[in-house]
Amino acid sequence: MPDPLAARGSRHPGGWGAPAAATRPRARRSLVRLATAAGLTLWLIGPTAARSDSGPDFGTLGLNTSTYGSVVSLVTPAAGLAQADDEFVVQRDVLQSDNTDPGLIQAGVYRSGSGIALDNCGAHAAYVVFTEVKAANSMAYRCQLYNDVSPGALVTLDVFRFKTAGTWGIRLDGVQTGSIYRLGFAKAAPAIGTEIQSLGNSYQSQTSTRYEPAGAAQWTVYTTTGRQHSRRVTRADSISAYPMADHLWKTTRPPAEVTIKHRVP
Amino acid sequence: MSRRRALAAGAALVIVGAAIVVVLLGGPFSGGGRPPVLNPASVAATVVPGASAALIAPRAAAPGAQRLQIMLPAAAIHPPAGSGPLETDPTTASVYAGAGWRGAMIASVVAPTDPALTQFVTTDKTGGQAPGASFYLDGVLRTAPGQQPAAMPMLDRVAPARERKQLDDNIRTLIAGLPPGSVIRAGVRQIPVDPAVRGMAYAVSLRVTDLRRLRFRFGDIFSGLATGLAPGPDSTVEGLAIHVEDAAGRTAGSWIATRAAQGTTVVDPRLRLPRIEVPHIHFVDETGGPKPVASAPAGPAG
Repeated sequence: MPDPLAARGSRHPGGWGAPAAATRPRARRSLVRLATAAGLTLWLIGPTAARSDSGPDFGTLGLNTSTYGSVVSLVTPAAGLAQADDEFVVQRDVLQSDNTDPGLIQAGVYRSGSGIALDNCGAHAAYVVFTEVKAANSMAYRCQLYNDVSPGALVTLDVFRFKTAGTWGIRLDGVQTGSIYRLGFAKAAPAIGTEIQSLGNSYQSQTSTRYEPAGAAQWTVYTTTGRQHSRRVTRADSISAYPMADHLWKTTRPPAEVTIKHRVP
Repeated sequence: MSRRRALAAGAALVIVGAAIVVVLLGGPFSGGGRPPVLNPASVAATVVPGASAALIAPRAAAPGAQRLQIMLPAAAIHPPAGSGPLETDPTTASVYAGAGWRGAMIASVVAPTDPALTQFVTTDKTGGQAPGASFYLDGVLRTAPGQQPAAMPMLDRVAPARERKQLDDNIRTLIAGLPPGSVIRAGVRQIPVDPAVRGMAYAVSLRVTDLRRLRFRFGDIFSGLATGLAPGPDSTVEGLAIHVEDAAGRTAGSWIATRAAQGTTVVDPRLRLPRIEVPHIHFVDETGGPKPVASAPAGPAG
């Protein structure tokens, strides 16, 4: 399978040609040699250099397993299968933690090596957006992969619920903007029949965030910085109202601890 | 004389140039360019005899998007008489999962030739679906019109005979590796999906003695059996379905539609899924396709 990071190396043939402006033969030959040497050097170190700095700032997500059960156990090293070089799920939101409703139960960006794969969707060396949905009152699950995500790409993922119970939609729009990775989700509004826009978001700092339901349709977000954000979720709400909120979801269970760890950019 | 020669050479150059332009623009001599739009109805009838398909208006999709409706004959989409409700009878869910799997394969074969196609819906011949069955029967092909599917360089590049040998060897390996007597019967159905490129899918049915005793062998049953075939970008086949049933009627199944990049799992609620399904048996990858790998189901762990 192609290595998405190595693919960023500049091995394009013709990328390091002789300068066209060289007029004198000797100077031209020297420039050709110089360019060739430089090109060869870049060719040799290119993939390594790309590897060292091209890792997108996806971060990893760990959840309180006492609240969310095994759904999130995949990201823990304790499983003995998810190795540092064999990344499995790089970012994942569990959107239906109790597994009782039909609909989207998790979504995020996924990549795996040879150690462990997403059930039914297999190993995928390139970063790819995925969803996993569950049928009502059953043990039926569906994995769906969407677009591949280039390292460094800015991706906005909109997940929303239609007016029919259990019917979810997804919008995905990726553009190349640099090294900051952004991913946003919307938890369905509390009442079926309400559509809610995604809450675009970014992980730009290491933080610990706690979410508590503060009412039927209201969310309170705590962060380690002591900032508190509380706002009623409304139709077509936007992330601008949640400057520190990375995830939102609805639960009637005890608060979940969410820790977002970052790689060195 | 030399002027005549120059004129002739010039004319020849013009002809050659024109031919190149024609080829580049995808004229009648070209063998490349975008493939012609496949007839959805004929693809549907290839995968499921008696099926048909037609483009319909999309539901909540991007502008310019289209949706493919695949209409299957009753035998392919209606659960057998006496089946229980969808929510409680995994056999019913498995029938829908199988129907949606076929729908996904039909739609995803057509999709590369029709950039506007973003969704599909699988129905019976009257256009109907049972309540709740859309989970299994409908799906997404691309999030926006024109989006190119992920590259699958090995798809349909292996001869069907080699694919079948890989699958048969996987089954033999599985039976030899499970506790003796676990597998009572194994069967394989070969399903042509896209004859133009020898695209095939395979449906495996296993009859076992007691599925509960094999709960921790799901990695062998589902990932092991798929060795060299699916899923993922290095898949070699269009689809793979594995359905297991034991003497007590407990079932577990997996339906992978390769091009659609989706897969459905249906497990009897009486069977608690393991936390991670790890293959224990050594399966040999004969095609260079996907290796057996531990997988993580999304459901609650046992």
